[in-house]
Amino acid sequence: MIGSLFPARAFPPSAFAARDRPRPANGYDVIVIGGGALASALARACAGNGAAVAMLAPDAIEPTPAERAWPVVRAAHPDAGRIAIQADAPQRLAKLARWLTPSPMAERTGCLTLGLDEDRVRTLGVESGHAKAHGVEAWMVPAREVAALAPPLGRGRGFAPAQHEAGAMVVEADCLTLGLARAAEEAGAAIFPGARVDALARDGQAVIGVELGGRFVRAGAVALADDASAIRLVREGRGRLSLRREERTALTTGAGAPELGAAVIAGDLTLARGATGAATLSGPHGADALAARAIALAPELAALEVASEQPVTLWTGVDGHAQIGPADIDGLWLALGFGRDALSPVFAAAEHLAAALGGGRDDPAFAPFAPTRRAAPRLSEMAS
Amino acid sequence: MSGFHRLPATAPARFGTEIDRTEPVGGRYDGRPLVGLYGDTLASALLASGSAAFGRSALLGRPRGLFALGADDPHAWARAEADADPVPADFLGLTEGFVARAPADDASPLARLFERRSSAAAGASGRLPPLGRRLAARLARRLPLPAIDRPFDAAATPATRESCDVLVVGAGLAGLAAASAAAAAGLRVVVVEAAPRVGGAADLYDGAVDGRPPLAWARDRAAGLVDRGAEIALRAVAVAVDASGAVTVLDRGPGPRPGPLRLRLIEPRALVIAAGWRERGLLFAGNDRPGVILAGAARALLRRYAVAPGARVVIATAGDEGHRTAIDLREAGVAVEMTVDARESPDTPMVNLAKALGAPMSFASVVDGVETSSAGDRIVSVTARNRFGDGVAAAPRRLFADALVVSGGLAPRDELWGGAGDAIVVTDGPDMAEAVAGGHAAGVEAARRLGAAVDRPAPNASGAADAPDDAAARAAYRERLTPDGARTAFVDLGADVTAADVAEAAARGVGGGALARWLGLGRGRDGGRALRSLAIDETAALSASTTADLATPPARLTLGALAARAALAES
Repeated sequence: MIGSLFPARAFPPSAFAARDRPRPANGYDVIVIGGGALASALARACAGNGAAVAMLAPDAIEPTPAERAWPVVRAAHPDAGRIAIQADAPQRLAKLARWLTPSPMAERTGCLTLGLDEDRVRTLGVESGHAKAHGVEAWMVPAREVAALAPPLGRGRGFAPAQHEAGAMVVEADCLTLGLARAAEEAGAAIFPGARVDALARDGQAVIGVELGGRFVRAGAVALADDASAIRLVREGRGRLSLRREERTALTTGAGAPELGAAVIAGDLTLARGATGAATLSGPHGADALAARAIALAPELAALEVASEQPVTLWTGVDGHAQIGPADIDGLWLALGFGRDALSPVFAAAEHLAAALGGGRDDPAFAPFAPTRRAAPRLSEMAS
Repeated sequence: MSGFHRLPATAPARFGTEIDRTEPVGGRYDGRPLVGLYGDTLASALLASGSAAFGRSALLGRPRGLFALGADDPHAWARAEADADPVPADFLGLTEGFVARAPADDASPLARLFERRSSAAAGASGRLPPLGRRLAARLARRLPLPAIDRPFDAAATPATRESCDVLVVGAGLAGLAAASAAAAAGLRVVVVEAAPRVGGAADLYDGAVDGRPPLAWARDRAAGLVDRGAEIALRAVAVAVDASGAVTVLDRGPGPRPGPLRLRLIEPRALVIAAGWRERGLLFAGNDRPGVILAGAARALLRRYAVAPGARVVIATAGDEGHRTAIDLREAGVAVEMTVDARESPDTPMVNLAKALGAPMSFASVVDGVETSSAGDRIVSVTARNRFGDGVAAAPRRLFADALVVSGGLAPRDELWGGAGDAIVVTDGPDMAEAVAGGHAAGVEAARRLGAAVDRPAPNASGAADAPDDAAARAAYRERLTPDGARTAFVDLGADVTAADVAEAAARGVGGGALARWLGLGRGRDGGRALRSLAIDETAALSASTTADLATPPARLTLGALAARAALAES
């Protein structure tokens, strides 16, 4: 149904989808491992900097479950450090959406974070203050205004003060990922769907490439931009990633969801309606409990049919921070652990990492996300 | 006389087993009077009255008729009362004074306008120039998708939690054999069946079980089960099996009229899945036109309600089902123009029987297109060509017919198998003898797991054995498909997805789970089940990476039903 929106001429076939595409070459400057929006954006940014890039996607070019479960790009975040790096994410997306093919179908719907109790109202107020300091338009609105901004909530029990970020955008994650991958290809990156890396190739401690189907592919740097692949390759190679896992369920409904007005975060429940009219819900404790909570919030959702149910594993750094930058191991770079808000930091993280890979200057905003520190010092730092 | 019609009263008595020709039933459909016979369903009465089209498709506004039976058809649905959910028109029995409505037209207004224009132009010049047609189609596709017609504020779904010894999914021959075996061991049995009748496809085959006609045997067994205290829940669809083995069932109650939806969470000690078989469609240009119908559906209409699909019929088949239907049609007095069999030299009892009866047939040939009337709502002719030939040998033959019966063989209904864990799945069949034996064995196994012994002998079933599925013959349709033909060769009727759409999306790099989302596979009322095997074949053949995840559950759960299930878990 999404595909029907694109004229054929403006959207020619992708080279990476051809049946007889060539095998990966013997060596690249950068190998990006992953097939989601983040990996595609990273491949595009590196290729844009002039590096020879290969993107090895373990499966198809499609968003990771985390990117699909909350297809919202926003600037505000409970973590002030994250606001610093993703403050301009909606603007970047809007700019990108003008020429990316297929269009990510970004809609500026805004995002409401409900303050369901007094504690949360207070933290949201503090968060709004941080956001304002970075020029992000996020402010607290009273309960009545919530009912006006997102009418289906008003008919449920969604009456609560909330943080409203007017600039937040809902995207079609499938389109965004494919669009970024095609842009990466146009910029010169080689993209290989269905290329499952067997292991990282080491020379002593340093990573010098990857093993792919019994072949060695040399790389100046290997960037892990997919949580699941990273865990498979690093943990199973007895390395440490210091990530915390969170199990959630994502439900996608059929088209015909009521106009929500804004994307909604209610505690650990998220709710967004995309351009095709399908709503995406995500939360912990399984599909049934998720549906029950969503209906308590907005009763109109009850009649919607469930099109798909997908388990989502989210990974976050042990201190709650994502890990962006060079790892302890030489030649290995990380961009992972973004948690629930996986799409928003994609653009900034990709650009930062590409610049760092090219030997550019470090952006101080990314200092809190440097992955080189081990888990123990990070935790002790948090305790102090 | 052309198109669907009721057989004259002089037709052999074995056609029309469900209806009583002396008892007319009258009511209203969409405000207009509709007369049928006692025993008719809404679908059969509408077809008998000559209306072949059951609405228009959502995206392209193409007229569509009845293609499959029951919940597998994407368009033949209706509402029994003003606020009721749509149910398959084949599951809606007629009662005197009935009032039914078509569900609001799925097609958006512009899609309808577009189709009327283009088909009017097609009458004069054959067809619109491809560019114009494509632009118009693109315009239609660019529209926002119309919302599926459903009540806005659904009342909370009532939900109950139950338990039993053995739960049997499906009340066909295999399911009833399994249930009988388990009940004979003294176990408490519940049978859930999606259709409002027992027996499944038993009456579509000739043969005998324990010396009785298959359907009579099925009804005897069902009555015997009820006498023993077993429950046979009709209009009850098993939707999902969870990890603990609990089965979610959507139940609308028995009787000619479907009742309100009720969610039942049944926790059996042993689960038997005997969901049976579904007929595959065939891939050719225009395989969605009204008048194209699955062989099983055509035979069911003929045998149950004495409704013939047309006056002159072409049959396209890749197995024995087509020949079985040809024999039925000829005996009912319907002219069979040709049976187009994709197999090279089939030598099976069914083919030989059809040959002996003088049915015209052509081997190693495939249908590669249909021509319709100017309104697009009726077939005028069918083109067939040789499966292998090139050049002159591949010249198309034009066969004049007003109906095209298709059969790509039978595929198991495997939607519930995935999450079923340690359920006992009946995979035997599709032949009757195998299905009955497999069902009985499943019942014995269920009893054994629960520590009970079955002293009942296995039913003795006999029927003609069909040739095994010929995948190469089915693949011939894919190989013969031209790029232009692929634009109207549908792989999902309800969602309006063609083979060309799949090819385009795959070429653009859409793969994996994104492919099904991108194309909207399964968004129609049938959930993509009508042509499921075509969609699976096509995505597997064209997608460069892993195959798309084509989850087509037997019915879709609403968020409200999930919430009701959550409330059950809490209490």
